[in-house]
Amino acid sequence: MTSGEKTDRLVNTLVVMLYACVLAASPHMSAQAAASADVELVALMEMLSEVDTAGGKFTERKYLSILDKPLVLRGEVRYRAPDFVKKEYDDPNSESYEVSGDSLTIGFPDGRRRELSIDEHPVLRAFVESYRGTLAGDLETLSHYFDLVLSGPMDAWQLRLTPRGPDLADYLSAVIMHGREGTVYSVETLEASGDRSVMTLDAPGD
Amino acid sequence: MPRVTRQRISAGLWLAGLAAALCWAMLQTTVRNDMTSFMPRAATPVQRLLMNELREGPVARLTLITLGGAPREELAQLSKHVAARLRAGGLFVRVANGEQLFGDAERAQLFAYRYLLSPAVNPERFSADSLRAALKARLRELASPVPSFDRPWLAEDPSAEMRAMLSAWRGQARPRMYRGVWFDAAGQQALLLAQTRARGFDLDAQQRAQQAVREALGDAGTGSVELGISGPGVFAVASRDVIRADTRRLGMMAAAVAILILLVSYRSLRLLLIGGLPLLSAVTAGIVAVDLVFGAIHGLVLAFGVTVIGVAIDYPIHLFSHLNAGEPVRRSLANIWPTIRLGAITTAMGYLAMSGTDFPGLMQFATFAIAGLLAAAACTRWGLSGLLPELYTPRYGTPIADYYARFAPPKRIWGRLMIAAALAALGFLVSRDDVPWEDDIAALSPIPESLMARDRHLHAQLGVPDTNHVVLIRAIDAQAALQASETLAVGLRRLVADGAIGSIDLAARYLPSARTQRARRDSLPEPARLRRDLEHALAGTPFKKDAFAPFEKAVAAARTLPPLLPGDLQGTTLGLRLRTSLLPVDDGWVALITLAGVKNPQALQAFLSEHQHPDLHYLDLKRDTRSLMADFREHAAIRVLWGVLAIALVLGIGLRSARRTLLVLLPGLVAVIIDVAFLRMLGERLSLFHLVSLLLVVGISIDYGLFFSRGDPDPGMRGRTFHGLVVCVLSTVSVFGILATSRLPVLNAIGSSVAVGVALSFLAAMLLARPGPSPVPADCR
Repeated sequence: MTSGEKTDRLVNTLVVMLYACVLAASPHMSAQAAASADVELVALMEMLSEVDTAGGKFTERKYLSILDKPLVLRGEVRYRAPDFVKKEYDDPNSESYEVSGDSLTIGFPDGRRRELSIDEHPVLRAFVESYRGTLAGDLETLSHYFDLVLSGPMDAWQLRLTPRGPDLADYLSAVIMHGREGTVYSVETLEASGDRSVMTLDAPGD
Repeated sequence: MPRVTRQRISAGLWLAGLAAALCWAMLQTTVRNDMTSFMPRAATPVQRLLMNELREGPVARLTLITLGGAPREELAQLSKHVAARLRAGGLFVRVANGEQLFGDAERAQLFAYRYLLSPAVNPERFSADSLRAALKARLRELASPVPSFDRPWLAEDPSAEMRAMLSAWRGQARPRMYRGVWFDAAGQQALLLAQTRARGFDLDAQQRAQQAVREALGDAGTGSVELGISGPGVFAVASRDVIRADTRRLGMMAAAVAILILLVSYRSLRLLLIGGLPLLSAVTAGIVAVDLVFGAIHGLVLAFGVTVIGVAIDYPIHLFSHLNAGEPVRRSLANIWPTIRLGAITTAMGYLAMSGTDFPGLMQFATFAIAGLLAAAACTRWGLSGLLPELYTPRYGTPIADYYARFAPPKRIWGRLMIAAALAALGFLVSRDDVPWEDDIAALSPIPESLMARDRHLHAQLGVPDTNHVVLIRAIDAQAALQASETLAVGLRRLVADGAIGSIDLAARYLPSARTQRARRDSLPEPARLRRDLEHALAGTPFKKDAFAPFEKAVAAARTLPPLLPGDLQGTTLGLRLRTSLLPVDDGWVALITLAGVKNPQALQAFLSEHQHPDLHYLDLKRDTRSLMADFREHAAIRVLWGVLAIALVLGIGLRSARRTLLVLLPGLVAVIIDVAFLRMLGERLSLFHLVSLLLVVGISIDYGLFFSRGDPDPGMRGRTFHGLVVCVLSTVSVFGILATSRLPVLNAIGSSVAVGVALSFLAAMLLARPGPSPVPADCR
């Protein structure tokens, strides 16, 4: 297979999800009073929006029904306010993904790049916004695509994003973010198929 | 109480006949506006295929739709809405806007057949090595944050055959996407590509299809969105509308001018009404004659009817001009009739020669003209005298008749100058050895260049290539045609790889022949072997051992599938798409291979001549139509020469003098030569329709020549003849001048060349006339 075909294959068969990052599965989410959550949600978003850069080395585990054991992927994710996210893998044969504004750029191992719009498919933007919107503290954008439920204390919060539209729900059951104040350290993605992936930011100094 | 005379009886009969014919023309006649009447009738089987392709091929069914002038979000929604409505409406066989093409049921059918339909299936496809490579590729995709659309079927389809199938089916079109639908590069307009079920030249159906697009947009309740529709069918409908509008507009203008000239010339309402009768007779006779012979009349021919008015009006004018104080109308008529008759018959003879062509449009022209001219002449002879008082002289106000009566004919030196001018023009024409013929059918189209340019732009945006090149393969049945096209496509794909051709498209791309499907099926491994190879491939991967049991089951099931046949796809998206490139013909089937972006025609030509076969035809639509038109134009030029000869012959018989015949013919020839030189100097390209116009000029000039050489002894009569001729030339030049303003290239060509030619004819006839004692031998009356 030539690299050109590979590009086309990856890009053109692309449907949707830009799985977002970060990790540290926090055990359970305890039910919270809805009334205080709204106020707290606004406060959390405020806190998140004050962060200019975020990210770091990550470990991602994909639990797929077709696999014996989870796929383990390592790499680095970078966020820069307001709308830049880059995800690179340590494996030199993997592509890198970079989102800036409305464009998604895929970098291929051989150095070629391909740019496309995250608006090519409605679901793609929702995926991008689930992570980027959370890091940016953009409550308006997040609420456009998801129902948000915040729980836990501010030093160990959990934000559950449930898709609003049926298009998105065909692919995705929920995205669950875990964080400590203005830092997101894990993203858990639950797919409609039952498969699940967890991306956890490595603790500093690891 | 008026006396009942023979004249009155014949006038009554004429009126009754005219009324009946008029009813026929209004109630019975079908007007058609299909531009293909203006393409030559195909003589050879290949030409027939060519014309068929132009009229019915997939290219002729293409409709490009743009939605603009609203926020992108809204346009994306509308694109989906319009596409869904059009798909459900049944007028289009294909509506593409970037969304998934297949419904669930069809997708399931195609998925079941993936091992027979995927072009990637071959004996090596499921070996241990290939499977290992496929699994590795799938694993990489699973690791990607952007999973592929076929991820849910991974267990059933680890080699991604469905994906291979779909990407083989996807066209060249790869426009920018927004919210899952196509947009132009600027992101301002949503783009849709549709193919009508109806043939491209079925204008009523095309119009319905376009209406359906407007309605689909309309019921979305968005008035402000700018809708753009383009494509051959759209152009065909627009052409018809131009033809209709021009026919109406020019007809009314020409009638108004004719009325005005008659009124100014004779200042009599009565003469106006009577003078209009031959015109009405001419047009009615023309319509009825064409309808009887051809079963319908083309809109353009009807517009051409306007031109016959320019000639037919001459006959009553000559009559009115020769009405003499104190002489019964009947005698004036008898005096002038032989000249009118000879003029009408000669012109009709010219058209008779034209009518034997293979060009339906031209045959209709000729038939209309012959019937019209003869009817106008006959009406003047038998219809008019009964309607005028027995003794009647029109009033004259124009000094021009007196002026001409007082002066001697122009000196010979002027005539010689005229001939010298014609010789100079001839020299000019001969010195330019290449004749700039216009053989491009597109040049006949009334569609403005700006619309054409927009259409080309849309094609480029959608990545729809300019498909002017088609290879046709005939075979006894659909399977044989599919097989033959598959075999040829192998070589053509090499040309694509070499860059000689941009891309190819053929029915077998969507549905391979049964032979190919059987070969793929037979290459599928037995269950035991597949299991062994799969186990090898799975070793060392994180996939579960039994992860691909559904795949093993699917391969085993495919091994017993009968091939999918065109009949099985009836009513499906794929089935509809097949219908445009795999067609039944009279005695078999034809498979079309369309070639896009032919960059190296020599290489293509060389390849095709290597594969020469009586059932294989290569059409370069543009080039072949052009050469068909050129052949036909040459044929028509010879017809025109025959027409001139026939005219000379009839004149010779009528005038019984070679010298007089030559003198009557000379003005026409002089006029035609100068006319052509003039058009040439203007840089106009000559078409078939110029040839026909020149024949008309010759016919009219003969009338002028005959009347100028009548040589009436009475100066008053000479003056009135001249007056009549001036009215004739004014009216003819005006009517054809009006025609020259048409947006239709055909009418424009006829109008400008006849207007110039007739004015020149008049001048030449006046300067070259040698009035003789009797213009037409008495016994010829």
